[in-house]
Amino acid sequence: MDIITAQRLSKSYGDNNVLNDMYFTLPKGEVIGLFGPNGCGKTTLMKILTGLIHDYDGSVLINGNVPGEKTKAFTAYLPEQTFVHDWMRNIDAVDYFNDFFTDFDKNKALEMLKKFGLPEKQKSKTMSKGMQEKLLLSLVMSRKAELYILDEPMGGVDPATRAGILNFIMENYADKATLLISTHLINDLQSVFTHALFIGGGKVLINDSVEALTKDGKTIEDIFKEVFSNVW
Amino acid sequence: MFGKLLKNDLKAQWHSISTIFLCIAFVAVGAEIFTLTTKQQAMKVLGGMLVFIALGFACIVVLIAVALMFSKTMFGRAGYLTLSIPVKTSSLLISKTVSGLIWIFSVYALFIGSLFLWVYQVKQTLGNQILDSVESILTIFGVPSFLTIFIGILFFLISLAVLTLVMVQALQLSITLSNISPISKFGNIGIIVMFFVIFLVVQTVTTELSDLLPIGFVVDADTVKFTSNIVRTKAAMGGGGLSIGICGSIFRLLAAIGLHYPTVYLIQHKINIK
Repeated sequence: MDIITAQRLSKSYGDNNVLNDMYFTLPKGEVIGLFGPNGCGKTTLMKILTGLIHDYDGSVLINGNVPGEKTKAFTAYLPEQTFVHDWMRNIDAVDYFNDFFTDFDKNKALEMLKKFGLPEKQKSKTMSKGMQEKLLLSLVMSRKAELYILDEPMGGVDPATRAGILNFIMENYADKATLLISTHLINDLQSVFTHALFIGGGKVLINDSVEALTKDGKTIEDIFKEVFSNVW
Repeated sequence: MFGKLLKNDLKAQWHSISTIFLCIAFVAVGAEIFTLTTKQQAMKVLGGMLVFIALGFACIVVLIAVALMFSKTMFGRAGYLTLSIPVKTSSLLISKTVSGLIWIFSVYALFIGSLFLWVYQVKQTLGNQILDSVESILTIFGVPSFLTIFIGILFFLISLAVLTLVMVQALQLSITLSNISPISKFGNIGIIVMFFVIFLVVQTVTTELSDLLPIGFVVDADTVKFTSNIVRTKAAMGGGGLSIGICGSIFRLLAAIGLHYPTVYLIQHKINIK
């Protein structure tokens, strides 16, 4: 059973075809790694899936629905940059999620804030990038979503905290949910991936299970280096 | 869900608008102290006028703040949050319009209140002398009836509300358009130009329609007449009374509703959150 189906998916910025006639399906219930070099369209693809980019060609379906109001109800998205208003305190952000997402668990979010040492009344604008990332993770992972889309979830976190964050994600995502994670930190995350989608040059280069890809002893990072060795 | 949207939009807007209200409060307190301490009568009158002018200025600033907030929460960093929640785009826009109007009308109310306060201060400072003069002028030209004044003020407030709604909708459309390539290249200038173009078109059509279809009311003493031609009816009534054309306001209201749909369409089909 597939959760995401893309057909003839294309998106360009001016003359730059970031996604070019892409076809792919992604299986439900897997932890999917989205890999590719910088500027290959990973974030663009994620924004299309979350309904933040609309002017693309082709079609994308999530659980059979075009990204929109219906899919937003079961898709939890962690963007690369912080999205919380400057004036919001951590508790305001929790209340905001509680107001709009029926699958949001407020108590769980408050527990997570405590765990990360984030005071409820601290304002977003007074927090460091790492603290803001922890806040966003707490919000997103407190949802019982069917699909989690995490764009570079550990981009702003120091190496010592990464393992903790990874455990946090893996412990807190809802049962039977699908995780789509984009990252350059392949080594840190490769143990959790069960499926991999490599994109580059606007095309899907690899879309297969990690088991099949690594059966001859290669790691995801080895495959990444092989596939994108000609980029630089 | 709409109630929750409205609550959050009011909260978000309050955080940028509260500074304006704080400034008004400072001006008001300063003006009041100045009025109480100065011995010159003319200066006492000017003190009250200062609050009135500050609030007039605040009406424009609040409109700009509402527009900036719309841009920030829809297409800025916070757009990730706003556009990730499972609600209809039209609900998002209506909530932002309603919450914006609530703040704008609050400043209007304070502005009108300050006008009355100023008149009161003038009366206190200069006695009934000025008011008597105004009354004498009105008597010469004919004192309008209570009904005429009431309907005149009521219609003025309705027209102002509709005009503000058009401005808010025109701003939302121009900000949305300015986030679409290739217009996005022009930045804030693009927003300003598009706002004035949209607003000018609405105003021109409003004026033309009002001339073509002079439907409205003519209020004279204690009678209100609905007529298909206010100019002819007013002339037939001897030229007295107050004529109120409603065609323009009806068109403006329809234009405001009409401007909502292209904004929704653009957000649903053309907008890319950066």
